[in-house]
Amino acid sequence: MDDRTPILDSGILSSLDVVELVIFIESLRGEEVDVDSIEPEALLNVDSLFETFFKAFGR
Amino acid sequence: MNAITAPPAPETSTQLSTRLSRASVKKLWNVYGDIAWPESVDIGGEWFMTPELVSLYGTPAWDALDETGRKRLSFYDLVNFFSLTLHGERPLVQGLCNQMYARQNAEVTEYIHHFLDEENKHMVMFGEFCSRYAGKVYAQKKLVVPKTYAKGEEDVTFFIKVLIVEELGDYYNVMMQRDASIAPISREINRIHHADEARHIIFGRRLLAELWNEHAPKWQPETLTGLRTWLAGYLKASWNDFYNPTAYKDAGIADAYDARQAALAAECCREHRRRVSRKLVDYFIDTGILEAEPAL
Ligand SMILES: [Fe+2]
Ligand SMILES: [Fe+2]
Repeated sequence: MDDRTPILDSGILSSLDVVELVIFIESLRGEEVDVDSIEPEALLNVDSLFETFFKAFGR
Repeated sequence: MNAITAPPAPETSTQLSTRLSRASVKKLWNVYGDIAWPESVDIGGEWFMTPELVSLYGTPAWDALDETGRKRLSFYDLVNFFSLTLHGERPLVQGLCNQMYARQNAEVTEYIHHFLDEENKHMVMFGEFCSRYAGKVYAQKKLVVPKTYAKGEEDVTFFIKVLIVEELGDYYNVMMQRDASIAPISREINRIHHADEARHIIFGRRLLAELWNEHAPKWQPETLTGLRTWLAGYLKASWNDFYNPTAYKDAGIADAYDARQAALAAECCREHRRRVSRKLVDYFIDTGILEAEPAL
């Protein structure tokens, strides 16, 4: 597994685990994630997660 | 020797619907007129939930709070409880629309009209409380991923979700409607909700059992296993929603995320989740939908 392994398709995470992932990301970012505005591609892999949730925050 | 008589056949969903529709008409209420909303509430000054039902009760984060802090947390935890119930009712209403006329008979359809009416009013009521006193409804974090189903599996899944949101919530409603030490507006909303939910739960239990008996025997073993695994995960995920770090933050708890993780792992909280889930889990096991108690 690497940063481009698909996390939903490979069964690493189920759609129910996504909630936990989002809450964890929020704790790292220190603010809420607007789930309704997330494009499905954002949850593809570690690269896309970083790109979507952290790049703009300069982390 | 006494003659052996067969036990009375259980009431079918059709017979039940007729009875429940009559009760709904008799107990019809008006969400816009029947609730006396206080001008303001005293956050930190009064209890909004029964302390034992506050999600962090018994954990180190709870112990670290003084009385004002605990009361304050009980307010934001109630806003979270109402928010998650509201978010559970949204897809419920959507799914009920798919059940009426097309799939169900006239009696069941008539009751679904009441069910829909009541759920819509609940959302108005919960939304009003949250917006009026907290200035917001907490967002839900669930994401819907499209799935393909075996015949009947989608309906079974739908009524399982309905039952989970309604039965867990009802335990809280019943406890709080009895608690004279919490804010009257909280007590009143819990009372109103339980009055309707009692009917919804009887109906949901009956209909789900019928759907299960009709479809499950025809499913492949993989479908059965898949559904049971999903159910256990869904129940756990539904419980996780009761622990909202945003609510903890609003209540002034500094390490909101850690407080949540600690409560999810704490033995006292796990015991609470098992106790609240007991009736529901027993139902799933009695009907054969689950084979064993899932980990909570
Ligand atoms: Fe409801
Ligand atoms: Fe309901």
